[in-house]
Amino acid sequence: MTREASRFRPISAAFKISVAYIIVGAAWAIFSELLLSEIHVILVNRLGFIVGTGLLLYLLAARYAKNLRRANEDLEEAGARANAYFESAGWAIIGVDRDGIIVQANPKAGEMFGYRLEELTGRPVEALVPDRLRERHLQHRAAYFKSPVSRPMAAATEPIGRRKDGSEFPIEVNLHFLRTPKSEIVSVFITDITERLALERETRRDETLTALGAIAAGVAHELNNPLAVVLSRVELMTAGNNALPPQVLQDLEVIHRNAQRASRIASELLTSARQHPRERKPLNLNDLVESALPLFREQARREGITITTSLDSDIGLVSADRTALEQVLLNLLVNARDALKNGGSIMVRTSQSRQPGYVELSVGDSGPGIPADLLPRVFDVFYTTKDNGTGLGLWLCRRIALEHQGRIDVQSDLGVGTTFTMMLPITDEKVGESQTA
Amino acid sequence: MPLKILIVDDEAELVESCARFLSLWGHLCLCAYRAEDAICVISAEKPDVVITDLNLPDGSGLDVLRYTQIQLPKSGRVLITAYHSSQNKSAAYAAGASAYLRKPFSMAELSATVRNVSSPGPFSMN
Repeated sequence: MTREASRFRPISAAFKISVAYIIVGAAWAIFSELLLSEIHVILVNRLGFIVGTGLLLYLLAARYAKNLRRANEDLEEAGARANAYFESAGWAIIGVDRDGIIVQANPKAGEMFGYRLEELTGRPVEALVPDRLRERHLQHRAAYFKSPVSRPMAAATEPIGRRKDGSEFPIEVNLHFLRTPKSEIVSVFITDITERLALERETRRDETLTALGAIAAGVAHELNNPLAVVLSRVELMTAGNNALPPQVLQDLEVIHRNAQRASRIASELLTSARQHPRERKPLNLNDLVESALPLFREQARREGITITTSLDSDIGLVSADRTALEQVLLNLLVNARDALKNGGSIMVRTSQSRQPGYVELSVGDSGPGIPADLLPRVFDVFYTTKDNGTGLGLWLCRRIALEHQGRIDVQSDLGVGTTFTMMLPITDEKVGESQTA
Repeated sequence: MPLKILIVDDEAELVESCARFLSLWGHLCLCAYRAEDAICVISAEKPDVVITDLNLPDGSGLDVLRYTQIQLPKSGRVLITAYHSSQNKSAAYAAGASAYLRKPFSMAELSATVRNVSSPGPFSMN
């Protein structure tokens, strides 16, 4: 039964009762006059009148009260439910009036923008928009009210929200127009899309890397053929042919060396362009270090380099492609060794990261260090400071770290040394389980 | 000991480099640039060593190797390729290669490989 219908029923019921009363009353008035003596007639009439009207009043009031109560209960229930949605919503919901003043805001809005709810109501909605975008926002608002309709705010405008502390974040905005008997409100639904954008960026980057990998592999393979021709001709020219002037021989040696370097770049590119997903197994970084070090230690000792280790036995396992991590470790060790032309020390450390859920593997050298302006470039592809370097080592290390959902950073002080630290997430798999990456 | 060596690759300049180099060592070098021509030469000239590239314009070096193994079981068979992968390597040995060389290889490596495959020791692939 709708409220409209129940409103009519008391009226029609009251009408029926009133009519019945008038008929009964009239009949009573007429017949009592005829049947009873004078005094009794007046008394009985008056009594009858009071009792009759009293009963009538009671019936009407009771019915009216019941309907009112039911209507109130329905209203309260609807109100409570709407409020619950509003309070608990995952979006920030803000009600804005025609003048651009915030008339209502839900707790999520307060949380998202860094205000207490009382601070938001009464504030102009432009307070939530960065200064440089306010003008544009005002225009949008004016245009919207000309033809208000429920719609998302165009993504092309790239809306940005501004928190109380001035920090900004990307948002998605949906607008709904409410017209009630007392007011016109635009309810604005806002989602913080910082995370979603970051995820999209990462996916795009992963896809780019995969595509690049495929191209790199193709190029690398194709280079091998002409390189083979160049190298073989140089070797032919120098084979058993002592009649060449020394300068020519020297030039040929340069050509040969550089062709070989080109070939190494090609083969490192091929290594880094591994396309097929590699299997990952739970791995203890300490095992990795301990198995890779002995051979390296021997070679290093001959060059006057001492290697010390500090391995935390409590670190968690990481889910990793062992070969790839071995490559990273070896790369870092070789770089450290190359930095210590006159001997020195290398420190290999494993530890729990300050960031919870991560472990760290670091390789530090006591070499000359890297100047601050060159430091950001060390991971760039094809960046190298070595004569015969390929510039792919650290780039590859960073790629491998990223593929393992980790990262690799460098820290350096001139005259003191350089440390590369790789951070990887801990896995709760046990040894014996594995997953395809 | 001078050998008759067939070199097969669609890169004519590389074939020439290898031929000239191996000639310095006194070997007789024959050249082919397609699988079909290679097979003709193999059946006509019966070389002691066949060196072939994997990717030929009209077929695969693996077919050349298989043919050589059947026709000349005592020959030395070498696969060379720019497209190195472990799958390629296994496929080469399965097709009868005695040795596998990645491009670019040095001429020294080439002559050493020719020596190895043509004077089979007790552990040769033949």
